[in-house]
Amino acid sequence: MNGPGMTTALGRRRLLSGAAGGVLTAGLCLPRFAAAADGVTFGSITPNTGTYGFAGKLVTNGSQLAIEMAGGSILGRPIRYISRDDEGRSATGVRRLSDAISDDGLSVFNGNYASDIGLAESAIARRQKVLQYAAGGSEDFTGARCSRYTFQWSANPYTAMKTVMDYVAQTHPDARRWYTITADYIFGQALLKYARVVGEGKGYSFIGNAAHPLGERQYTQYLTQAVAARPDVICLLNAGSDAVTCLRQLAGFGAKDTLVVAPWSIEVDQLPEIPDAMRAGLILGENYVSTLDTPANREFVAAYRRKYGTAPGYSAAYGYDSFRTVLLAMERAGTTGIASVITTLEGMQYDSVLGPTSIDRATHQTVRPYFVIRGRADSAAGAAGDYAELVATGSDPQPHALNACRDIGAL
Amino acid sequence: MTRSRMVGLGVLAGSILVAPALLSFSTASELLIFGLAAAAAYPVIGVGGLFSFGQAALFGIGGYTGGWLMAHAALPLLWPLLAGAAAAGLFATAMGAMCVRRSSIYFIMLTFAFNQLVYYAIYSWRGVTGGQDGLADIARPARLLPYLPGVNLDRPVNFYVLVAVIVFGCFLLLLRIVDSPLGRVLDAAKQNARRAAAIGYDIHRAQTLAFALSGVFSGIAGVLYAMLYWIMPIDAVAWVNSGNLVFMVLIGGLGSIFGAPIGAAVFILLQDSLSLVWDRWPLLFGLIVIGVVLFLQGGVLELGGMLRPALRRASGADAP
Repeated sequence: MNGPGMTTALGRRRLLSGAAGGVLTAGLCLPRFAAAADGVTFGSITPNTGTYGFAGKLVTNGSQLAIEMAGGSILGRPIRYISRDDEGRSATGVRRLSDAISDDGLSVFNGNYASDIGLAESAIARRQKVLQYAAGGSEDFTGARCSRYTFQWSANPYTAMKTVMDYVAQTHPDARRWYTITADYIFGQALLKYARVVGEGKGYSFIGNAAHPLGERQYTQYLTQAVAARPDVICLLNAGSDAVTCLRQLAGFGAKDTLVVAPWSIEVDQLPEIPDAMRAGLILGENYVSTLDTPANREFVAAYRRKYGTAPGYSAAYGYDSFRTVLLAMERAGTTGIASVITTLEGMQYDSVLGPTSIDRATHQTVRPYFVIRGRADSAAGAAGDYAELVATGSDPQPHALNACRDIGAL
Repeated sequence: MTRSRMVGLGVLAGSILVAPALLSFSTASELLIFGLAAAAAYPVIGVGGLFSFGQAALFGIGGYTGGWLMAHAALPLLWPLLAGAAAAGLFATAMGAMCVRRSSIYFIMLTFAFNQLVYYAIYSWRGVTGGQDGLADIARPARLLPYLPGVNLDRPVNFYVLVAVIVFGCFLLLLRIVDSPLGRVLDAAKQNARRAAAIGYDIHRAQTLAFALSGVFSGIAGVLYAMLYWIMPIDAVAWVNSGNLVFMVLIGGLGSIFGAPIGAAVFILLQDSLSLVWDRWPLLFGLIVIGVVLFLQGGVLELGGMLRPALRRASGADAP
């Protein structure tokens, strides 16, 4: 028999269950957007969560701006933009990419900020014949796993290491004993390889390397080894929240006499997260700095500031410039057909945000400069929050003998 | 077989047929593969009441074993499938034999430790597994069985049909296992281990056997997963994936093995849908999981059971 209290309890339980069910059903039944029949779909496959979670929104911001500045259409066809979170995981990235291609008609995408995910996605891009504009520090995009469908916006790791180590050699000629802390995946390994290639040419000795997993949160064990080895330079070959966490913990080790170099670790946007004492004098390598005085960059920075109220960093510039380049190639090709666009991009010379730029026909590497900045303390940053100054630029391309792209494949 | 079982199998078969019309082949295939992985965990978690956080290790061992064979040798699919199932089954037997001797939190921690052991073995064995970057360049076999003509598994529809047939076949076997005397012994041990042992059942042996069988089917799911995107990512072996599999079983409902594939589908589709809504979607997802655990302890299956009387009443009210 059901008394009144029983009825009330059951009713509440049913109500809560019904609400939970309703949320589940609503979640599952969210409309999946149909691909526009007459348009062209651009997309970003980026991490909004995980080690590189900070970058996802920034890449999206830059990408959307490029499409807006193109008037939202190309050759009379509307451009539809979609963004998908890869959660910083290869499996999720390739699934969301596959779904975007089949469900949304994606034909051009920028991704991925993380090299391992980007390389997994490049296999899908090749199979599904969609155009990928990658970032990340792995040389494999334009090396051993090069593909006709994949272009690389970021600098080659050789260019990055050569630029940064040349600057260190000029400013700290006695800093010859290097200890590296490396993210133990394809990105960190590429940087380590070229640190040794470039460093051995300068007569440096690499007295130790601590390899850590991606997404590490505790660096004490690596930093203890590094500091105990008494190097002249501690070189961070990691990125994102890994690098920020590592630098924060290094601040507590009191290794004040040791030069800290991070050739591909911290974006300008992340500099405020670094402790003041660590930031002052920190030598950083950058794929992009917003102060570049080029016509395309002035236009980009002004528009970005208007829309988002801040200066863009590497992630936003990658999103913006990769799409801007593809749109430029579509205009030159007179079509949005991917095969023709790829053929146009190969060997293309154009003015990017970085200045006069070209794309290597054989490898799809963007031939471009790399930048060195030097961190400032809070007291020197000023009211504008100018936490670093540009101190050097380099553009030495990867020597041909070191490139492993033997067959870029067919369209 | 009972009427409810027949209805359940009919719904499952119907869902498999309808899924490609609603979802992409890749998503539909992934739902089936994780549905199998969750169903493989069900004899241990649902029937045996043993909350194993080592299921991703079994999934990963199968995936890496089968994936490595497919990446390095042009073998018919049968051999990578068998190798993946055997490797995962053997590891699961060893893991189960040690873990079932402990209970509650100690059991959970042991399975978790085994998972991490496998994770770091794969992470460190870079030359074979690809380490953090995962195992790449996996090729889908050109033939299913020796001496038979080839099938182009790179065609999404062909691959989906293959996955559907294997998953449905495995599900039938798992259903048989759950309904077998082994399932009843596991259930008895879950309710009262001492009493089950006192009446003569070797519950440790039964639980170890459940682990072994769970390993075999998890391994098959892992091999299919390695084929799905031509890569075997190390994330698939991470402890988070073990947690996901446990959640899938919970969301589906612990009361029936049919809840496992439903839980997997809800889990994956909900993540996909929420990620389109908000950049910080894991917050919403967490709230929904909390809601299910607090108010829907029988999982989605319980929700169906609660809605049925209401639907009956509604249809009765409409009757003249």
